Amino acid sequence: MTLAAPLRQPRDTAPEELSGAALRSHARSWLDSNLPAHFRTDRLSPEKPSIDETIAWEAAMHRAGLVGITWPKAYGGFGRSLREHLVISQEIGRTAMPESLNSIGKELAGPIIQAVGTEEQKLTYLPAILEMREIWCQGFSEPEAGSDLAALRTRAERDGNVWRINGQKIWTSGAHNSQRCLLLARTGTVEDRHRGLCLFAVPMDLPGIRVNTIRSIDGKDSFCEVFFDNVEVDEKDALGLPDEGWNAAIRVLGIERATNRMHRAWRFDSEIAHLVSACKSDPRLSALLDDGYYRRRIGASVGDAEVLKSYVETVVEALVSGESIGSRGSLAKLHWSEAHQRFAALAIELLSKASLPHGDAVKAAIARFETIYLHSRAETIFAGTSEIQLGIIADRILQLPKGK
Amino acid sequence: MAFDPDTLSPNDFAAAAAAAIAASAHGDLSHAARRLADDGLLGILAIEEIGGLGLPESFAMPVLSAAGAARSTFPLLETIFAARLLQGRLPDAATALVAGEALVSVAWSGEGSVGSDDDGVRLDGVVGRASHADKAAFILLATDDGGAAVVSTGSAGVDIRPASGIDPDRPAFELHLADVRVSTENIVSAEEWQAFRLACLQGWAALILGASEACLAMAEEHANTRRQFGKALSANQALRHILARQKLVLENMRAALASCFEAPSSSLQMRSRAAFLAAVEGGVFIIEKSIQIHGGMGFTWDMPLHRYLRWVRDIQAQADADHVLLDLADDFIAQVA
Ligand SMILES: Cc1cc2nc3c(=O)[nH]c(=O)nc-3n(C[C@H](O)[C@H](O)[C@H](O)COP(=O)(O)OP(=O)(O)OC[C@H]3O[C@@H](n4cnc5c(N)ncnc54)[C@H](O)[C@@H]3O)c2cc1C
Repeated sequence: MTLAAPLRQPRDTAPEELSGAALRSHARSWLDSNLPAHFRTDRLSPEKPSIDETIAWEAAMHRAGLVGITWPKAYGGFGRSLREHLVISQEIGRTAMPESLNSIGKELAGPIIQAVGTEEQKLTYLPAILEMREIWCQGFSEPEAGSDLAALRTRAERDGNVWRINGQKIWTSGAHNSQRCLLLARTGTVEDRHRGLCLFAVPMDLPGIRVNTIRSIDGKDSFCEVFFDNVEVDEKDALGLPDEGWNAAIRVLGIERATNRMHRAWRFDSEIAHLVSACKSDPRLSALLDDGYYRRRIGASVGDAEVLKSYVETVVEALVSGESIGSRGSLAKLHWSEAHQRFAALAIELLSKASLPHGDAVKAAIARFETIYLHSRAETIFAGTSEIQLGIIADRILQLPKGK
Repeated sequence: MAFDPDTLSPNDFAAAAAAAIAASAHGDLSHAARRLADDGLLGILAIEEIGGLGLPESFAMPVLSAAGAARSTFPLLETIFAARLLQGRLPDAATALVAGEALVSVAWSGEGSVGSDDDGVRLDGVVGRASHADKAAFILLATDDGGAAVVSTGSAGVDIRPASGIDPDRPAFELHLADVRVSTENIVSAEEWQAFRLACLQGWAALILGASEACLAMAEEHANTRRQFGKALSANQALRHILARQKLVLENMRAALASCFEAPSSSLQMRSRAAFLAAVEGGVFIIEKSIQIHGGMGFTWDMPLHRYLRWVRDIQAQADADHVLLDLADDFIAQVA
C-alpha cells in the first residue's frame, strides 16, 4: 500500500498553537485524510493492515501530534493539557480505526516510566514508544497468578550488574510483536506476596526468552505465553528499586485506569452509529429500527455510551481541578465492559436479520460486530475481571469492613 | 439570603439548603412552603424581579438531591421549574409560588384539548398524575397542540378527583376539565413546554440521585452492622458485590447528571435523557436491592425504603420513562446517515 503523502513528512503539522475547536478540527481532518482505506474498521477490505503499515501509521499519528499528547516535550511528547488529550481522544474514538498496537507502551509503560524512571530511562524509552521504534507488552499474569497477581512466581535475582530472571508469563498480549516487556517479577519468595516485587523494561530479544502464541476465541493469535530461562537483564533496565517501582506503578495505574483509552467512550458511540447506519441500508433492518423492542435496546446502548462519556469528562475535570479520583477508574471500566458486551450482543442479533443477499454495508457491519462481540468477552476479563472490579469498589470506594 | 453564583458553588448552596429541606420534609405543605421560601429555595431559578435568586440550573440539582434524600413531600421540583416558566407570562402567580403563598401541581399524564372561540381559549378533557392537586392553586397541564396551559384550580369547570397512585406521600389526582376558560397568558408554547420537561428530566434525576444515595447508605449501614453466621453481612462476597453494583449505578447517575451542565448545548437533550434514564433504572435497582439486603426488616412499612421506591416508580410513570427511552433512540437514529 502507499501511505498518504503527509505521513512521510517529519512532524509536518506541529499544531502546538492549536487548542479547543481548532485542535479538534485539526485532529479530525488529519485522521479523515490520512487513515488508509484498508485501516477503516467500518468498511470491507480484501487486505488487512500489516504490522509494518500499522507501525508507520501510528508513528505518523505521533508526528501529527495525536499521540503522547500530555507527555513532556523533552521525551517526544507535546506537553499539552488533559483537556486537550480529551479532545483528541474524542476524535480518535469517532474514527473507525484499529486499536493501537502499542497501547501497553503508550497507556501503561509510558506513564509508569514517567513516574519512576530515571532521566536516562525516560530519554531512552519514551521517545521510542511514541515513534513506534519499540512496541511493549505487559508481563504480569502467570499460570498461577491471574486475579491474584501477588501470587506471581517469576523470580528476579541479583547477579553482579544484572538481574537474572526465571519464570513464565501467560496471556501476554502482543508479546510476539514486541521489543520490550514491562515485566513484574519478585526478588523474594512467593510468601512475600506484595513485598519485593520489581518492575523491569526487558528487551524481548535477550537470550533465554521464548514466546509461544496462543489462539484466542476470535481466531487471532492475540496473546502469548512467555518463558524466561536465566535471562540476564541489565540493571539499567530495572524500573525503580524492588517495592518502589511497583508501589509507584500502583499509584499511577489508579489514575491511568480512569484516563487511559478515553477514546473508547466515543468509539462506543460511533459503533452504535455504524450499526444504525448499516440497518438503514437494508430494507428488513430499517423496518426493525421502527420496532419498539430494538429501538429500546438501541436507546439503552445510547444511554450507556452517554454515561461513559460523562464519566470520562467528569474525571478529566476532577483531575484538572486537582481532585483525587481514587478508584473511580474501576467504575468506568466495569460500566464500559458490561455495557459494551450488551451492545455487541444486540448488534449481532440485529444484523442476523438482514435481508438476503447482504449488501456491502451489512457485510462490513457483520464482519466488524462479530469480531467486536467475540472480543468483548475478554473485556470483562482483562485489566481486572468484573468480579475483581466489584471487589475494588466494595473495599476501596465503599470501604466495607472485611473482618468478622 | 444573598447569593453570588461566582463565589458560591452549587454544593455549598445545597449544604445551606439541606437544613431547611429536612425541617420541611414532612407534614403540612403550606408550612413547608413558607419555610422553603424564607430560605430562598423556591425561587432558586426565578428572576430577582419576582423574588427569585436567578441562579443557574446547576444550583437547583444538589438542592433537589437533598430533597430526594430527605423524602421531601413538598413539590419542590414542580415549584422551582414552574416559577421560572411562569415568571414572564404570569408574574403574580410566579411571585406567589416563590413566596410560598401558593402551590403548583403538574398533571404529568394526558392532554387537555384546547380550542378557541369568541370568548377566548377553552380546555376540555381529563389529565392525571397531578400530585397534591387538591392543595394547589394552579395546575400545569399538557395540551393537545404540543404546548401546555396553566389552570387555576378554582376556575369554573375544573373538577379535581382523587386517583389511585403508588405513592401515598404524594397523593395523585385527576383533573376533569369541562369548558374551562383561560386567558392567552395561561398558554405555554410547545417549545417552552419541551424545555420545561427537559429541565424536569434533570431535576428528577437529581431527586432520584439523592433518594438512591440515602437508600444505599442504609443498606451499607445494615450490611456492616447486622451479623449472621458469626460475621457482618457485608463480609460475604455476594453482598459486597451487590453493594458494589449499587455504588456503580449510583456513580453512573451522578456522572451523567453532572455532565448535563458541562455538555455543549447540541448534546444537552441527549445527555438529559440519558441522565434521567440512568437515574430511574439505577434508582429502582438500588432501592430494590436495598430492601433485599435488609431481609424481613426491608419488607416492613416502618422502614422508609418502600417510600423511596414508590416515589421513584411514580416519577418513572410521571415522566413516561419508556417514552424518554424511545425518544433517545429516535434522536440518535435520526442523526445517523
Ligand atoms: C484478551 C486478554 C488479554 C490479556 N492481556 C494480558 C497482558 O497483556 N498481560 C498480562 O499480564 N495479562 C493479560 N491478560 C490476563 C488477564 O489480566 C487475566 O486473565 C485476568 O487477570 C484474570 O486472571 P485469570 O485468567 O487467571 O482468571 P482467574 O483469576 O483464575 O479468574 C477466573 C474467574 O474467577 C473469578 N475470580 C477470581 N478471583 C475471584 C475472587 N476473589 N472473587 C470472585 N471471583 C473471582 C474471576 O473474576 C474470573 O471470572 C489478558 C487476558 C485476556 C483475556
